[in-house]
Amino acid sequence: MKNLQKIEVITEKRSIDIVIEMIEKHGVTGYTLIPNVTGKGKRGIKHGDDLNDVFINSMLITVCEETVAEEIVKEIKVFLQDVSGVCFVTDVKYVLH
Amino acid sequence: MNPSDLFLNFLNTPVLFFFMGMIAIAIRSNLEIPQPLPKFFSLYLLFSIGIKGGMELSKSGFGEGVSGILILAVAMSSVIPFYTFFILRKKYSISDAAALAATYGSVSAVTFITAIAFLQSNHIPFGGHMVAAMALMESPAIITAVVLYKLYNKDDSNKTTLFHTIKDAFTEGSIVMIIGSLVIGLIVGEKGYESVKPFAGDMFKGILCLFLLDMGIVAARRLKDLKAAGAFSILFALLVPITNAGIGILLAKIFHMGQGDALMFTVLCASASYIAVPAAMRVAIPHSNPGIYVPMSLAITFPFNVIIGIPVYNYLVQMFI
Repeated sequence: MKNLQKIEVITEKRSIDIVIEMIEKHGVTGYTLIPNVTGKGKRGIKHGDDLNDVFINSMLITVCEETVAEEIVKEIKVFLQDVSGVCFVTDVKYVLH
Repeated sequence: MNPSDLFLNFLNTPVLFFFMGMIAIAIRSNLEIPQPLPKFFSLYLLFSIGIKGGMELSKSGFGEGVSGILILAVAMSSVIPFYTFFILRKKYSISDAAALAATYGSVSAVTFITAIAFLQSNHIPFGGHMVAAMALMESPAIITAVVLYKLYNKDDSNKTTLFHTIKDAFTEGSIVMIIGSLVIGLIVGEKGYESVKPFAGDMFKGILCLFLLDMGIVAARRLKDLKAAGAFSILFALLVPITNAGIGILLAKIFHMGQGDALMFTVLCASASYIAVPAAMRVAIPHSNPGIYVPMSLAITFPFNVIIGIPVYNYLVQMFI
């Protein structure tokens, strides 16, 4: 097993492509995307029942080396100043396949 | 039209389905229309009114009256945010006031579509150009509100340019669908429309019923978000549409619109956006709170216009025009 960091980003569905570009720019080649997630945060409830995907979030999960994670998180912090969402980073053990 | 007809108008089929959706939430029913069907219904309705409007425009052409109404529509959408912004500044932050100003200056396609069904039920004709007027009224309010926000918010760190906002407003899916369908209707004319009429025309009211059922459910859910809004927000969400409707009827009278066009124009002036504006605001004014402006337009103004507004505006139009 290898020590890595897991980054989870929950943000507006319409902006998730920007997050994907960010992680890919740093050489991360794989991720898991849950396209439709709902919940409540500082900017109200995301019911997920609107007609143009403004009130629904997506969740992106990826793992990478700690140094890469730090670079990605720096960019995500700037991104989340203007776009609603949250980012979590956790230490994980990666089971190689 | 007498006042008893006014009451009967409340009981038209799509509006009753809207009530049914609201009641379903009130009695905690698990009734829902699964996504993505509501999205499909909304695209269908935009396609339906777009292609029919284009076909009618191909018959009537762009006369002087038509261009006058279109200019008036753009002017109203640009002006409404000005006066609402300064009222809203008494209660809200600059970003929320600007987002609300855009909401009430822009229009609700669903209210407009419900008004079309209302006119069809009452056999009152209206021009296809009113569909173009609706499409044109979505964006000017957004642009005015963003300009006001940038003028009054000195420490705006948002890098989004006005050009970016305008581009976003015109490339929003619902706008592309309505303008695209309108242009196609204009190109293919009556013959082309007849070939798609069994789908585009005959199913319109049935699909609208299901769509309004979903909108009733969505609006009732948003009512819960309004708990913290306060009396000012609720009064604003009721009085501004009535004021704008009054201005709309006055302008319709001055510019000699027909009764159908006058009602559509009045409904456009009175309605508030909850589709195009939230999409634009999240980029242009990201610190505005959709938890404020969406419940006001969706849970108060929209049901008010659909249930009470449309028949009352029609009653006034019949009286004065």
